[in-house]
Amino acid sequence: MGISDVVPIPVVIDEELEKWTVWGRPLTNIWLTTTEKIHEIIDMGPIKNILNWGRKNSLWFLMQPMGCCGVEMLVFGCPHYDCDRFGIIPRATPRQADVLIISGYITRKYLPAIKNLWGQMLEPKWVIAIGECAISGGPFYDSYNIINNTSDFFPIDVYVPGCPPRPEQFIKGFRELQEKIKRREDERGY
Amino acid sequence: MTTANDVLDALQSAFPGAIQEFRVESDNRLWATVDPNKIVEICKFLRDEEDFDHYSGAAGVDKIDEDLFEVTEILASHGAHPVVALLKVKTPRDTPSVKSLTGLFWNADWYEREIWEMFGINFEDHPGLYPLLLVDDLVGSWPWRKDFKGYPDYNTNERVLEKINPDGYAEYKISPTEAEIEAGTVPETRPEYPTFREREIMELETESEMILHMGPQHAIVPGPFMLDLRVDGERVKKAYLDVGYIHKGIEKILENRTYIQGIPITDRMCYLASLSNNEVFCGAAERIMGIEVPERAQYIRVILEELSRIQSHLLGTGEFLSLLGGATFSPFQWMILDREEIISCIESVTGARINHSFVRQGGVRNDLPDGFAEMTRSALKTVVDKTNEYKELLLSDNIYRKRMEGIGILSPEEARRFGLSGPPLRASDTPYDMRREDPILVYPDLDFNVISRKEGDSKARVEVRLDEIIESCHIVEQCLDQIPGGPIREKVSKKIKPAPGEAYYRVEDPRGEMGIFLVSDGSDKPVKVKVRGPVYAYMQALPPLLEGAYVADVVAIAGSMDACTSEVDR
Amino acid sequence: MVVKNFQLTLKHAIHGIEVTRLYPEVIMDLPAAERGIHQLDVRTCIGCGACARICPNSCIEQVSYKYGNPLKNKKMKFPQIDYGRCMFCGLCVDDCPTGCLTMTREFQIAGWNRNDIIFGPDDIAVGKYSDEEAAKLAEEARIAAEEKKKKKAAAAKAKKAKAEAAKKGDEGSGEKKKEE
Repeated sequence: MGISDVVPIPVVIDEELEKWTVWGRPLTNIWLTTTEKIHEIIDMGPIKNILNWGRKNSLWFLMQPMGCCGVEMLVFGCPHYDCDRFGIIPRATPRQADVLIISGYITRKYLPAIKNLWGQMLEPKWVIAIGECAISGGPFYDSYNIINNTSDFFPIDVYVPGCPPRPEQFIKGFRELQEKIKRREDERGY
Repeated sequence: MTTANDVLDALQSAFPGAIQEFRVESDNRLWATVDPNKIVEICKFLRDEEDFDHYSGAAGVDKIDEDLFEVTEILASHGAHPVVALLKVKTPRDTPSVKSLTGLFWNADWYEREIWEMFGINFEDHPGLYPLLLVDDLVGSWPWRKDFKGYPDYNTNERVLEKINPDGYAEYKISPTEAEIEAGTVPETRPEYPTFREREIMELETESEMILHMGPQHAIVPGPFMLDLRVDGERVKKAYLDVGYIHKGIEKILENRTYIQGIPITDRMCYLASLSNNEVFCGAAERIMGIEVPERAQYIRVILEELSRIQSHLLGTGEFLSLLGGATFSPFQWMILDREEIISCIESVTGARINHSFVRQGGVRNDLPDGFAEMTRSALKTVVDKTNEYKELLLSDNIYRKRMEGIGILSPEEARRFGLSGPPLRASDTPYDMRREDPILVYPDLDFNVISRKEGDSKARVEVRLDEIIESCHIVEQCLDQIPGGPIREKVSKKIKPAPGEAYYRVEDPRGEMGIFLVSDGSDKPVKVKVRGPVYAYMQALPPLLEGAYVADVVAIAGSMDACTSEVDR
Repeated sequence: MVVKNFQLTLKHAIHGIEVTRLYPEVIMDLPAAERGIHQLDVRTCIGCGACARICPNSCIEQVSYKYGNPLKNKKMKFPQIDYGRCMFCGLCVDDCPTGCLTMTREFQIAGWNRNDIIFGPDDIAVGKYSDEEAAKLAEEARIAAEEKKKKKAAAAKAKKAKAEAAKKGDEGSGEKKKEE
């Protein structure tokens, strides 16, 4: 379909336009396009980089304290470490959050709930595993009630060791995530 | 003052022959093995005649060598005398059944449910034996029994827990091994009971009632637990509490670690009071081993525990106030600033911010660094000044007072009946403090007041905490003045093997009475560690406290208890 | 009331204390007792495995590594620490007989993959030998081992001889006794 089918212009111009390309694609493909095509274009070009720049600088995380790391998460948001400097803001509801911080032990009883939270978060979304319990079960690795293989359930982008990690480590973890998003190497491929 | 011997004499004259064995450990510890048929009468006698009105908990012990289960009931008194009576009841392993104490003590409910789900010991006349901490699929495998097969053995790699399916819903099954099928000892089927949700829905009375879910993840909830409210309009008719979302099985893990290796695990029971947890675990082992801790080490322990209390109260109160009033009158960020100063002081000694693993059996890990006293004194001065400021601020704030005064009132009788301890109990006109009742370390030499309030409402609970911060600062300053030189650790062999025996040791946690019941059989690993946490009692008391409140006040009541879910679930 | 509270706010605002720790640029001073990432002095490690035995999380594993001191560490096994499971309790450091395993004030670790946070001996080692030094030491160790072997053999020989002599002596003494 050419432009002349929609806009009343001479066919000559239409033929001329068909020779034009944008990033290696005919302009006419882009003109009168579908959402998928827009996404394709965004994916291939620097537009994605601009979007990711925005995303990486506004990583809002879900306030979901589960264990000792939850206490450090509180401190991470307070004046001494001030996560707002990096555009990292705690949110109370999964609907407004981009990052799920798994901040503690996942038990058999809690796993369905946390999967539910992860499901409710809107795309794009990332996971950071903070603390030993979230990475491998930590001190409770041989308990009957703890899940050791967290990475089988969540696409974990950054692992931050520590028991609990210092608030600086939280910042470090988020900066690693930003780097990962910038390089477009994150698990879910945004 | 009544002593353990007096109690024993009274029991023996009232119930001749019912006391099968007894041991008087000291003036305030009485151990007795009693006739299983008479346990209820004996407890009734102790409660009514001897002032044992504080039911402190119950512990189950699996004595697999003797083919027995032991249930130990821990009874104490709210200030009438310092005796703790530990009454043991034995029951055969194949048909374990014990008489329930729920008719006498309201708060026996949860302790007995826990023992039932972990050991499979039946409690006769218990109103509802439903699982408390475990996920439904695990009930029936009795994980705390010594012969629990699902416990992964990393050395032999046998009978490792089956993995969870990708949907996250545990398909927990311990399939019988071939040897078991051949021998015909396949475990019997699991008990059947309605689930938590079904039990709630069964109780709905009228059309206008509905169930309002809060949690497991909720903005007000400090850790995951589920609070379901049956509401009629704006009023809460009944509250249902489901805990166990972060049940880690610490008591079982401790049975698989040596005494030294257990110390870091106890940190994680309640991460705001990790020093008290270390203290209570090591102290119980010291009791069995009969070690006296060097005086300097005692002072170091007291200093750090009191600093830990200050930071815990600052964080707990701050977080609660931020939930209540957002930014309007909340000094949350200021409290965190003060807390960081205290944390720096503790960190300079222990080397960690939250989980210290600092106390050792017979002493402490390392000595105080240079300049600790000056650093702490300046931090304490800031904290005292600021805390006085917060008190003034809260006292003068009308919104705060309207929100908190007369909300969630606990009368002294009720608070005692619920088995509370710590600030909520002291806010209800009961000055009950382990540092006074069951003094340990150097507390008897120190001069401090037990803070209490008469009102018993949410506001009083916050005030008690703020006053305790100032009192703790006072204690630390005294300790810094008095601390002597000397060794910091008694000579203990590297492999700690306490003699066979048992001990019950309790300390005043930031949140209340924290006790550990430790059983040793002479090996390097404990046989049983029962943790009696203060928050367990808070949580149990929450549903009756919320009944009849407005939905908007739920936060003001639940938050004022300063609950730490990790310790409930352990 | 309101005026008073505003006064408080203003007082603090004017006093203007700066509390934010500007982390990535400035790292705060940590106390000497800080329990951070481990450091292993490979020159003194004897590879006894005490750290691996005491670890409550069993996160330490003894692995082979070639830049150590073979004179002290015969099997050349050094600890590898899985930071995805280590809880920084410091029991391994307390239990180390030579004091070669210590904890530093360094704490920044974050990994993109699970394997990034498993630190082998190479990552935590200090005082690594260069290739030549390592080769030299290995040679020395070999010689030492050989010498020891020789010594052992000699000792065994001597022992044997001694035993024989003793036997003879015994016989002799027996004879003596008889004589007496």
